[in-house]
Amino acid sequence: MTTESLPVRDPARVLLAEDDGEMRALLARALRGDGYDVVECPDGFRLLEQLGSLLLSPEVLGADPTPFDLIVSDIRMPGVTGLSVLEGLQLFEGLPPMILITAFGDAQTHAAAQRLGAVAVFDKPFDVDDLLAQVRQTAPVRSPT
Amino acid sequence: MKVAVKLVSVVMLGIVLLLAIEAHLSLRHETELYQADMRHDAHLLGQAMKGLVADAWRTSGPQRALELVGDANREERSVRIRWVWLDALRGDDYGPRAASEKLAPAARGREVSVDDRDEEGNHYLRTYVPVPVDSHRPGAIELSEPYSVLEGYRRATIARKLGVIGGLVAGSGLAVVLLGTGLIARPLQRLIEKARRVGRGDLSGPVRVGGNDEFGELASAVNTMCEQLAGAREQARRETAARIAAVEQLCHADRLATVGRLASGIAHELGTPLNVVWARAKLIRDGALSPAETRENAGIITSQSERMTTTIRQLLDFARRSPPDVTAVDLRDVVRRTADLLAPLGHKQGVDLHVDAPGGPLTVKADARRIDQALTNLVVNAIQAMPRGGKVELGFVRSSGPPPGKPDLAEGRYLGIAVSDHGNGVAREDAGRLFEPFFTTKGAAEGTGLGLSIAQTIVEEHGGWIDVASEPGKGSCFSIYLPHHPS
Repeated sequence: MTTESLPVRDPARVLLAEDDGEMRALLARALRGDGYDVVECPDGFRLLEQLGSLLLSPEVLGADPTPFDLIVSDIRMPGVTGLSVLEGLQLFEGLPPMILITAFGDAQTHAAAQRLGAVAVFDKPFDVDDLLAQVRQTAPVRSPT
Repeated sequence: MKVAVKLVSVVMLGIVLLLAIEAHLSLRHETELYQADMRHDAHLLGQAMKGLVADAWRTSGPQRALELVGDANREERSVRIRWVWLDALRGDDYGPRAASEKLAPAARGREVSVDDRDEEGNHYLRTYVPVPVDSHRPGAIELSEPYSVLEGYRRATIARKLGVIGGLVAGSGLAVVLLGTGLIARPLQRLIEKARRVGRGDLSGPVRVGGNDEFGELASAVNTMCEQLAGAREQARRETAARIAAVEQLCHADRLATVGRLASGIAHELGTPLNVVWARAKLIRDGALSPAETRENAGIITSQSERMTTTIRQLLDFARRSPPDVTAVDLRDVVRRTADLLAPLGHKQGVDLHVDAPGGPLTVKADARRIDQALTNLVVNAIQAMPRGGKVELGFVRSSGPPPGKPDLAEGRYLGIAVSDHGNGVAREDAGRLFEPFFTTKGAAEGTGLGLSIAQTIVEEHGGWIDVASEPGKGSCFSIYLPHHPS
């Protein structure tokens, strides 16, 4: 994707990280149905790979240092957890807003998510419509000009 | 009491011996004095008679002199007085009663006293006082005093002394019995009973021994010792109770933590499929789907429900700890069955199962079905640890002596199955949590995190253990050890 002539993307891009295939498919379908461009990651490594571009210099990235408008990530995933990926990238500027999903819902996880600046934390099982409402609020779908 | 009797007996024997010696010596002394007295009396009487008889013989003739002697006999009862001719034969009318050889000094004119016995055995002191009445024949006055008085006195003295000694012995014996019982036996018996009670662990009830003698001191020392022991025991009991309470509290905290982890695990395992079911069901409910899409969503709901069912069934398997149905099982059969069962799964992932079985049987006591289940879980883990394929080796191991790091298990021979893979190994931070229910490093589709917990539960129910050796990046070896059953 070239970024030179695209200071504002349309439609908005969402990076979706979830290890459970069915759950991922479900969320991707819902987001795409709402008009989002969704990039799927099945585990923490892929999430790290996608976000790795943030580590590159602005010269390489051009005028668009953030290729995503929103991250929706499961916290517990095999290999590298979503939480540790986001924790590691905290030092870099321009990290997109995050919505986190957890199955545990314990206070410790919520506190860690807040520390990372997550805009919302959803405990499984949750109403997908609620998640979509939060996504729309955080990264509005822009109508094509 | 026995000691007291021995001591008193020795002392008593000494006293009796001393008293006997003293009685003997004093009796002999008294006898000598009495004999001397008898001689002296005989001498005085003899000298008096001598003058009278000699005078009568000279003035009135022998007849008168002999009558005088006879008269004297009538006056004097205890002493028998006779006139004797010393040259006459023993047994003649005027013959001496004593043997003639003892009378030689008297024949020469000297007074003599001799001890003598008559035909009946009676003992006499016979004193011969020569009286010069005839120049041709030696005559003498014979005074015979029986020793019967002296012997009576001696018998009475001996009887008295014996009575004294006997009384002393009896009195002392009685004193020993009474005092020994009161002063020694009773307190000693109480102390012995107390010592026996202490020996049985009963420290209650202080021993009571009156008086301030050594027994009293001993009893007081024993009571103090018991109080200190009881105090120490009470303190130990309190400390043990406190320790048990602390351990129970830790166990409770541990149980809470386990329940928390279990709850988290269940939430995670069921939360995701439930979320899928929820959302898919909503899509169907909203009625905006084509028939094909509806079928697709219903299919997903079905598979997610099955997934949740599987999770719950495994959880129940883990929780349901029924006693194993134990028989003699050859571990080679267990390995063969499991390898046959899992070969297709391994093949799908490019993993070969290699079995290295020895010739002889390897018999353990086990529930074959459950050991199959435990081994299956280990082999599935090994296969899943090698996503790029490779070789899983199933070998056999032995252990004898105390199981390493398992103080609760009995010392002895153990046989085992070792499952080795060449996968990523176990990360150091995960090593401590491997057997925790729902702990998994795999993706959601591969495992629930119950496999190792179930395997460990099964093996521990058989009195065995699972040993883990792992090197991150190189692979792991999980070994099941079970008690050997000599066939």
